[in-house]
Amino acid sequence: MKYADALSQLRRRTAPTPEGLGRVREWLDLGLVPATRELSLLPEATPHALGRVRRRLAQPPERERRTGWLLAGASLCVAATAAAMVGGPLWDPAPAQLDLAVQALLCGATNVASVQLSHTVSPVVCTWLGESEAHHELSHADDGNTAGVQSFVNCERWFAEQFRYLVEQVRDAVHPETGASLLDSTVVLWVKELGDSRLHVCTGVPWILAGTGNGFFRTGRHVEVGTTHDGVLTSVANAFGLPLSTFGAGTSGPAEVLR
Amino acid sequence: MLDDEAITLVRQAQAGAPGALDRLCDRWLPTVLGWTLRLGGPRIDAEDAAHDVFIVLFRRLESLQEPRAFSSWLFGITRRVVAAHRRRAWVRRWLPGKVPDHADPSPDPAGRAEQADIADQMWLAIESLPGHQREVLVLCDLEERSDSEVAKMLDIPKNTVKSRLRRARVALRGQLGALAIDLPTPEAVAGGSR
Repeated sequence: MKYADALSQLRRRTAPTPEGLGRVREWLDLGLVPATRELSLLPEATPHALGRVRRRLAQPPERERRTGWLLAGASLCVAATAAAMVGGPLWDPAPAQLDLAVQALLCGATNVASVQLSHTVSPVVCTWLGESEAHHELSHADDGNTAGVQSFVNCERWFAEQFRYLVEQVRDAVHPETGASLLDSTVVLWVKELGDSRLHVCTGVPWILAGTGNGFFRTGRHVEVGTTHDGVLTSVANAFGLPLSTFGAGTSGPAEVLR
Repeated sequence: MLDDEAITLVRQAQAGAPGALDRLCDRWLPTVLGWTLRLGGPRIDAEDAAHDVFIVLFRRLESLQEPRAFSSWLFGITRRVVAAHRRRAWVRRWLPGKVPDHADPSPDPAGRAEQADIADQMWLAIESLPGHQREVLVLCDLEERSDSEVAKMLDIPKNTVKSRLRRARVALRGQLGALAIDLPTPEAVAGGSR
């Protein structure tokens, strides 16, 4: 066979097919163009990442959809940095990040998603709430500074609203195979790092756990866990079938009080 | 390298003219998908890579200084995206490495299968070439572009295109020794490119 003929065969073999072109065009049409501008604010929820999620959503399910859990941190660093870089507000990217996490769980792109909205010594200034002091400074407002405490409460309320939004999105997401709410088979965990921020007290740290994880947890209660935080994380792992007795460097074992 | 109409379309897309980005996609998607198929080899998902190329295009189009150089700029993006996909494919190399089967609805499946086999082996052989040789072979021999055009696309001298093409064909000859493909001899190849 002549080289030219072999090349001709390979040319045909590697020629883009109408179906292939149509698939790529469809992926590009799934909102990626506007998403590019909208989500360029986000360092993690990139258009690329969102595109992958949307593409998976557009395809029939290929594997069993399992369940997952979301870890929502109380800090805003990543998004804040992005927002600061573009001079944009923080509240725009936060729901987008949360939406992306929920969609990723729903379509089986992942079984675990974590969203961290800031970090220790958070520099975020909640200007959209009318605040002018950084979250970290406000977290040290003593009881005599009633205006500062109120500002801190305002900021914390906003974080709580983001958590509520996340839980609502998980609750309203319908599992495509069972028809049940995604929340039935998911655990959404909001974690904080301090009990009393003014003194950097690491006891009595308030966490909120939503979703029973297929009935593993008993919800609707306020409980004192009585262990270090790793006990809760061990329990979450157990809820999804990981037979861990401890988590990380912790030694406390699962938090049985949650069951 | 680009005609006036193509350059105007790039400028319109840069300026955000309604529908221009869509038309730019339609105009260039077949070219890009062809590049990702041929440069990436059978082990990468070429459609996935083509999609990634356009995502980069959307993000960086505004930074393109010279619309006339659009095709060369786009090829540069494709080359980097394909390299990233190839690296990932290399990491996954422990997976069965056969070229995936494709349904063939043609009326003469036996003859077509034989041809497909040669095409697939050529594809694998080209995939194994060093990147700079593969690029030149794909652009010159498979896509039948002239030396001058390829030199501009790759921003290298024309003689470098020729020497890379010569080396690529020699390497391909070594790879395809077992197949009865009549490649030009190195001597004939030396002056054989356009």
